[in-house]
This record gives sequence, C-alpha cells and structure tokens, in this order.
Amino acid sequence: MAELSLKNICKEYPNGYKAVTDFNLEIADKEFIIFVGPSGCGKSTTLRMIAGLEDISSGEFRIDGVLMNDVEAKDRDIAMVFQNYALYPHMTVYDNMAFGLKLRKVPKDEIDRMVREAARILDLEKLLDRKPRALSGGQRQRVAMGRAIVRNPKVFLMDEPLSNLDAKLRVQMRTEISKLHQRLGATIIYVTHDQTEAMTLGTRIVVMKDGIVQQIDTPQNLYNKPGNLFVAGFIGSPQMNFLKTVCHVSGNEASLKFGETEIRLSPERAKKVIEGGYNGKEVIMGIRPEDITDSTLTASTYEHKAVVKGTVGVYELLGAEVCLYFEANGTQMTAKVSSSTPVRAHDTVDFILNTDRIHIFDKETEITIAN
Amino acid sequence: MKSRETAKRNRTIATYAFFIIGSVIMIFPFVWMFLTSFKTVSESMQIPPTILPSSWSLDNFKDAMASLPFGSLYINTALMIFWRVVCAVVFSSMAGYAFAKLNFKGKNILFSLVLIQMMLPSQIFITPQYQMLAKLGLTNTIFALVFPGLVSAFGTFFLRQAYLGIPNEIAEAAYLDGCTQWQTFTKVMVPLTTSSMAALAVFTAVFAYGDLMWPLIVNTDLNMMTLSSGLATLRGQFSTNFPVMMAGSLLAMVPMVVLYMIFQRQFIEGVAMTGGK
Repeated sequence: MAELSLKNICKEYPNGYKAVTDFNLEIADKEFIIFVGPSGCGKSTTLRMIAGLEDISSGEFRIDGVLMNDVEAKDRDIAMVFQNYALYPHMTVYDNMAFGLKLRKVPKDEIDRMVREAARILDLEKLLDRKPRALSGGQRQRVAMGRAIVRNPKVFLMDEPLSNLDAKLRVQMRTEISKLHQRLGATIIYVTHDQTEAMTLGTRIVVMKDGIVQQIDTPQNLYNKPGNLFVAGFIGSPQMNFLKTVCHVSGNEASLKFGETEIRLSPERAKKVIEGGYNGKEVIMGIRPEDITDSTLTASTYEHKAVVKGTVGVYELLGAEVCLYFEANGTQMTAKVSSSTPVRAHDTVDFILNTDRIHIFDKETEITIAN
Repeated sequence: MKSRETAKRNRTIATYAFFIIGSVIMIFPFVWMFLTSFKTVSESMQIPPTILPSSWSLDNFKDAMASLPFGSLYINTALMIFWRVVCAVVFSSMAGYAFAKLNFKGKNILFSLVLIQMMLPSQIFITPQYQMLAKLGLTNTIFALVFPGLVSAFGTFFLRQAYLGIPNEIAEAAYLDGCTQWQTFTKVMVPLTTSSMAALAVFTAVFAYGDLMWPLIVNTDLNMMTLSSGLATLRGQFSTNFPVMMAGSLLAMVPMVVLYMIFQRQFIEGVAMTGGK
C-alpha cells in the first residue's frame, strides 16, 4: 500500500476558474480519507487529479515519495470506483474484473484465481457470467469494487460510490466498505457529500468549500471542535444552531447575551474571548440541536445551562427522537429531544441549552474563537 | 360510454385505412415492375394498361441477362458496397471517437468542416473528384467506384453522436485499468457502438447500391459498371424496352433484398436512431 503527499495542489481551468486552491494533505499508509463538501467544492476534481484524469495546474503530488504529476493514469497503480460504476456493458462480470489484469499480462490461471477470490469476498460468485445490465444497483456496485480490489492497487479512489443506491442498500454497502478497508488494509480516498458516510467511514475527513480546504481532522474532532462556521454548519444533522449574541466581559468572567438570556461562559472560553478583545462585540454562538432540550423533560442533566423561551413551529418525529423547530428572539432554532416530549407545534415552552457544549465564532472571519 | 367506444373504433379504422393506403402507394411501383417484367413490349405500352401479363414468360429476364454482364455487375457492386462500408465504418468510427471523446486544438473548427460538408450537395464534389481520378489514371477501376465513399461526413457525425452517448467514466475506467488511448478505443468504445456501426453500414450499403451518377461518370466500361449504372445503359436514346429493363431491375434488386433480410434489425434500429422512424 502507499503514502500519499499533496503539496500546494491547485487546479485552474483555461477560463480562469479555480476549482482547487492550495490543497495540502499527507496521507499515511492504510488511512481512510474522506473528502466531503457541498457540490462544486472541488472534492471530485482533487480526486481526479490524484487519479491522473485531470492535470494538476500547480503543486506536487507524490505516491511513496515519487512525483506523480506527469505520470499517466494507467501507470499510477490506482483503482477507482465511479459514482455510476462505469462497468463495461459488453463484458461479463468476470471479464470486467479480469480486464485490468489481462492488460497487465497476468497469467490466465492467476487471473482466474484473483477474480474468483475477489468474487468470493464480495459475494459475486454466482454472477460472474452475467452482463452488467442483468445486475441490480447493489450488485453493480460490488462488481465495481471487485474490479478495483482484484488489481491490488496502491490506492483506492471512490467517487460517491453509494449515491446511486437506495437508503437501505447504502447503509449495507457502507458497512461492506468499512469491512473491506479493514480486510485489505488499503489506503482509500473517498469522496462524498453525505456527512453520515463521512463520519462513519473516515479515519480523517477533509472538509472543502469553494476549492479550499476548511479543516482536516478526525470525525470526532470535526464534530466537537469545528474550525470555522462552515464546518460547524456542515457536519451534524440537523445542522448546528447559530445565534447572534453580544459578548460582555466583567473582570475574568464573560457572558453572551442572546435577547434576554445571558449565557455564562466557562473560564477557558471566557479567557479566549477576553484575549481576543471581543468585549461588547457581536459574536456568533453555535449549539447543536442535540445539546438543547425542552423544560418538560426531566432528563436534562446539564451542569451549566441557559434558558430561552421559544414557540414550536414544526414537530418532526424521527422515531426515538423528535426535532422541534422553534423560534426564539427572532431566530429559527432546532432542538433534538426525546420522543417522550409532550411538546407539539404551536406550543410555547422554555428550551434549555447545555452551555458546556457551545461554540463561539468570530462574526467577520467566521473562524472559531472557542469550542 | 357506447359513443366513446364507437369513436375509438372509428379512429382505429381511420388509422388502419391511412396506413393501408400509404403501404399500397409505396408498394405499387414494385408490383408494377414485377408484372411488367413478364409482359411483352406492346403489352407494356398498351392504353388502357393491363395489370396482369397475358403470359408469364421469362424471355425478358433472358434478354436482360444477355444484354448486360450481370456477373461482373454483381461483383463490382458487391466490391463497391463492401469497401465503401468498410471505409465509412472504420474511418467514421475513428473520427467520431476523436470528435466525441478527445480534446485537441481546432476540434470545433474541424467538426464544423464536417458539418459543412454534410450541408453541401454531393454533386459539387463530382468534378474535382473525377479530375483527380482521371489524372491518376484510375477511372474504370473498383477504386474509382469506392473513392467518394472513403470517408463519410454523415458517418462521422452519426458515430460521434453514438460515442457521445457513452459516459466518459467508462473510458476513464479503462485508462485506470491500464488501457492506452488506442486500447480504450478498440477494446471498450468500439464494442459499445456496434449497433450504430451496423446501422451506418446498412445506410452506406443502401446509398452505394442506389448511387447512379458517380459510377456512370467514372466507369464507362460496361464490365466495370455497377448494377445501377449497367441498368441505365438499357435506356435507349429514342425508345426503351421497359419489360427488359424491369426484368433487369428485378434481378438487380435481389442482393439488396437478401441484405435487408439479414440486417433487418440493424436497419430498423438505424432508422430509429436517426429519428427517421
């Protein structure tokens, strides 16, 4: 397997459009890296540059220390799984998987052994004689994976491989991919816009926006310590609540004022706010819906809390939990609470905020001040 | 309820009647040719015309075969069709792939030239093409018959559309599997456009078979003529023996009918693909 290094990678098209700007990433052997971001953020372009399907405008891309910028796609020893599978429609499943090996002039009996082994891993043994058009979406997806793993490449690239599958199959295949990663010990780069896939699969996640890397971190850290407002809003579903607040400092203590509600900051957060000179300034406070509960639930065991009064607009049952979309001080907010809550649409109740779990962002730069 | 059913039935009857009339109009010349080929000259010119011949004589077929070297005409026509089809399919496939899937400088300008060529009447090219062949001393040869069909603007356009219909990811998957550009074309792209190629082959064959003007100009030796140009020689300056000509035409039709029967599926697919159906 392989270590990858991307230094100052840029992609600029002839019309001047910059798809990727100054992309830097070191990928260790056997890592499962996820590129995530909204449509048009440059994640697929970066993947295609790694694959060799797009030229790199500037910067250096290395695999195991060898510069790859001018190496042809076929010579990079990379396998890719495409969103629409890109199986060869005129070939059987067997031939689809064997094609790359035949081109590399691997002996026939060796090809047969490798294809059958991959087919066994992916439960494709009974489908080897079928053409792609006779397969379901999930089976096609597995064939595409099989075509990639049979070659035993240095790096696997996956470009939204599950987005054409239905929800149930997607969850199933997500687990399969995770197992496959553990089994093969492969270096995988995976592109998705689905944050659940990103959070569940990746060892590290690269969050991108407008061609620029926003944050590279573990799923846990991205969730708990987002680097900026965009990452905070992008990771987590429903997305984080953002409240416009005013910062007040008094001695070593600091608080945020949201309407009539005063939110006292912990000493660590207060220190950062004071050092940043935010006294009297407007800052954005972020709090995840799962860190808000309603006062009717006695389960609130928050050590430090603040209360806001809100009127529920929409009640959305998710099963074990409920999303309550409410308005407080003119701001639309969401709380994710237990489904045992008696609160329904049009009710006005007190919502309790867990102030140990708040995030504070600079209003101008949108960079995190304190987590 | 009843009136709706009646209206539906009337619509069906009208549709059937329309298509039956259309079919009769289409098939009438063939039936007339078939019947005339068995008539005598006087019967064929008779006013009012007779529909059925008075006797089913094969004399006209014997006369047609005596007047024309049908063996040579069949071979020449077959060779012309074969080479025109091969050239059109091979070269159009390569050009179509390049225009559809490759990025190179001047691609749009070159493709515009292809489109312009499609828009110009083919008669414009006859004089320069004839002059080229005459100067090369290649008139009265099979090559002369094939020459205008070496490349096909229509074929290039037609197969370009077929290649455009194939997702780029398939070609990209082939590169990553280790294919060169040529291998991607031959091993992956060409097999995916076989039905379009078959349709183009059928179209080219039908056009080549019916091509009269070019073979008539370029090959004046009767033994180097095609069926269409050979048949044209049966027309006299002052009078024409229509029954013999119809018999000759019927004989000339045989290979095309056989071809159609073999490639019926591709032909219909091709017509459907070009929006003609």
